[in-house]
Amino acid sequence: MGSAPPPYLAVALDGAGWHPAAWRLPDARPHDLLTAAYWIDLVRVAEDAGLDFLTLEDSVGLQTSRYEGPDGRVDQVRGRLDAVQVAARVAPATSRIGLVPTATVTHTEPFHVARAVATLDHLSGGRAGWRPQASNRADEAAHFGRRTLPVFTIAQFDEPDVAPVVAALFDEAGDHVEVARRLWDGGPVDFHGRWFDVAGPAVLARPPQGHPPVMVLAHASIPYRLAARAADVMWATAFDARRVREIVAETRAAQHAAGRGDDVLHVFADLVVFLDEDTPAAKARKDQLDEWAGDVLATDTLVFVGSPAELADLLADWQDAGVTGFRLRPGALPHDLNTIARLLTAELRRRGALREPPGPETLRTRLGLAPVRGTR
Amino acid sequence: MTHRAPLGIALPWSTDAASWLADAQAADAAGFDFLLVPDDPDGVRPEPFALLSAAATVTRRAGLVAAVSTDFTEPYEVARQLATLDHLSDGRAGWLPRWDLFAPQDFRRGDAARGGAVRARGFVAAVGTLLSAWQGDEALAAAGVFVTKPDVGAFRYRDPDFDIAGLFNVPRSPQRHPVLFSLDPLEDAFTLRTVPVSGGDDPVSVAGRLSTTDGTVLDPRGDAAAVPVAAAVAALRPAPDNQPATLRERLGLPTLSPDGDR
Repeated sequence: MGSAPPPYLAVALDGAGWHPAAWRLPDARPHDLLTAAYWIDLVRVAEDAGLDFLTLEDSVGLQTSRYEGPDGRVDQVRGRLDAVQVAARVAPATSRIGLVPTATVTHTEPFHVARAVATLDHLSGGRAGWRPQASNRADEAAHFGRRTLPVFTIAQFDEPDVAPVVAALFDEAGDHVEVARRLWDGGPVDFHGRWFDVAGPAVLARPPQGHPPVMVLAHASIPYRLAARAADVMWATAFDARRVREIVAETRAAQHAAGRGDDVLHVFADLVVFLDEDTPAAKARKDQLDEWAGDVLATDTLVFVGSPAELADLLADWQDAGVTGFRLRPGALPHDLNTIARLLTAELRRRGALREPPGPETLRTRLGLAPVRGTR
Repeated sequence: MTHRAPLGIALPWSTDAASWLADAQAADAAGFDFLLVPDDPDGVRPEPFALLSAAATVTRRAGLVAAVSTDFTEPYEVARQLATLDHLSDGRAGWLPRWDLFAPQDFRRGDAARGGAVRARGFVAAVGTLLSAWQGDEALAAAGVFVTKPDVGAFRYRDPDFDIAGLFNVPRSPQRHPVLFSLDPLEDAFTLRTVPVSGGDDPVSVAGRLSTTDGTVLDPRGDAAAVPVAAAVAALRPAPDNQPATLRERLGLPTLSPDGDR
C-alpha cells in the first residue's frame, strides 16, 4: 500500500450525465447536447484537469431504460450524435487527453470502423482509442434488416438458450477487433472465420499508434474473456472491493490462458460518481434526481455519492484490490465532471496519489503499452 | 441576387492530418462553397465523416461534403453520420453517393449482392426516410418532459434491397436533409462536374472551364501545388450578396417546409 503508482483516471461522457434525470438540473444544458460547443466545453474541462482519457458513449438504437428494447419514455434524454465524429470534432481543439469513442461492431463492417478509428488517430496525433460494443438488441438489428436477434435481458445471460447467443456476439466482437488490427497493419487481411470472410489489401492510412488501444466494458465472464483475448484496457463493473479482487484474478487467469501473459492488460474499475464538497450536498442532489426519475438509480456498477476524501479512500481501496485505473461516470454533466476535475484531483494531489498530466506522448505510451512494430 | 454556380474543391488525404486541416482552412478562407472528401479506390481512404467533422472545427462557412459508398454500408449508419456532421457543422453537410468503389472481398461476407447502382437509389431513398423521422419539434426539455412523444424517430422503409424499421436515434439537424450531390443528373440531387487543376495551371483559364449552371469540383489530384492555384480560381468569383449560413442556403436551394422531404 502506497507503493503502487497513482491510478489512471478516465471520465465517461454521455448526454447530460449518467443519471436519467440529470438533464433537469439547473446547470444542465439539455438543449445543447447535439452541439459542438457543448462537447468542446466538457472535453476542455477534462483535459485541463490532466485526466488520461475520456470515453464517449454511442449506440445504433435510441436510448432506453430497458435492456430488451425501446421503453416509450418521454422524461429521459433521447437522441445522440455519432461518437467517433464527436471525438474527431474535438480532436483539433485538444492536445493531450485520449479520445475513446464507442463504436458498435455487430452491424458494421470492420473496414469502416477500423478506418474511422485510424482517421481519428491521425486527427488527434496518436491519442485515439476504441471501445468496440456488441449489440444484442433485436430492435437495433431491425434498423439494418440483415439479421435477427432474440430478445433477452442481462439476467438471462447464463440461461441455456441465451448463453450461446451472448458468447457468439462477444466472439464476433473479438474477431471484429482482430480484423481491425490487421487492417491497421496495412493488410493483406486474409481472415476467414465464423463471421468474417475478409481477404485483400484494403489499404488504409496507417494510424500513428499502429494499434489504437482497444477497451472493453465487462460485466461477466464472457466479456472478461473477450478483454483477455483482444483488449488493452478492461473496464470492470463491481459493487465492492471483494468483487474487484475476484474479477482481477479471473481476468488475469483468462489473459494467461489466451497466451497474453506478457502483454499489458489494464483492469480499471467503472463507477458512477456524484461528487460534492461534502456528503450531505451530494446526497441531496442524488435524492432529487431519483425523485424526478421516479426510482432510485439502479445501474450495472457501484454508484458513489459523497465527498472528495471518501472517493479518494474508495479509489485507494479498490486499487489495493488490483485495478490500475478508474473510469468515472459523472452522474450529472457538467456538475460531476467539474467536481472530479477540481475537487477529486486536489484531494488526490494532497495524498500524492495523482498522476502527472499527459505530455505529448501517444495514448499507447501513456498507458505503458508496448510500441507496435514500425511506430514510435 | 447574383447567381453563382457552386464551386467546390476535392481534398483527398495526402500526408498527414495537420496538412489536410490546413488545406481545409485555406479552402474555406478562399471562399469555396464546399469541400469534398473523395473516396478513391487508389488512395489511402481515410474515413470521410471523421475527417469532415474535424474540418468543421477549423472552417467557418464552406460546406462539408462526403463521398459515400453505398456498397457494403447501411442506410441507418450513413444517415447517422450525415445528421451528426450536419449538427456538428451548424448545417453545412452534404453527400455524394458513390457505388462500385470497393472490392467485395474486403467485407464481411464478400457479398456482391450488396453493391451496384440499383441498390444505391434505394439507399438514397432509405436515407431520406430516416432523415425525415424526426419532425424537429419533439425536443421540449422542460417541465420533466424531454421529448414530446414516446415513439420519437419512428421510421419504416422497404424496397427489394432494404427492409428496415424502428427508431432513428439522431434528432433533426439544422438542414434536416444534408445536400445531395451527384456526378450524373439524378432527381433531387445537385449535379457536379469535376475539373482537374494542377500546380502549373493559370487560374484564369481554369476559371473559364467552370460550369455556369451545374456545380464544379476542382480536383487537385494529390498535387499540393494545385491547392493555391485552386484558391486563386475561387478568388476570381464575385462575392456573394448575402451571408448564407447553411449549405442549402449557400447553394440557393429551397429551405424545407416542416413536411418537406427535400
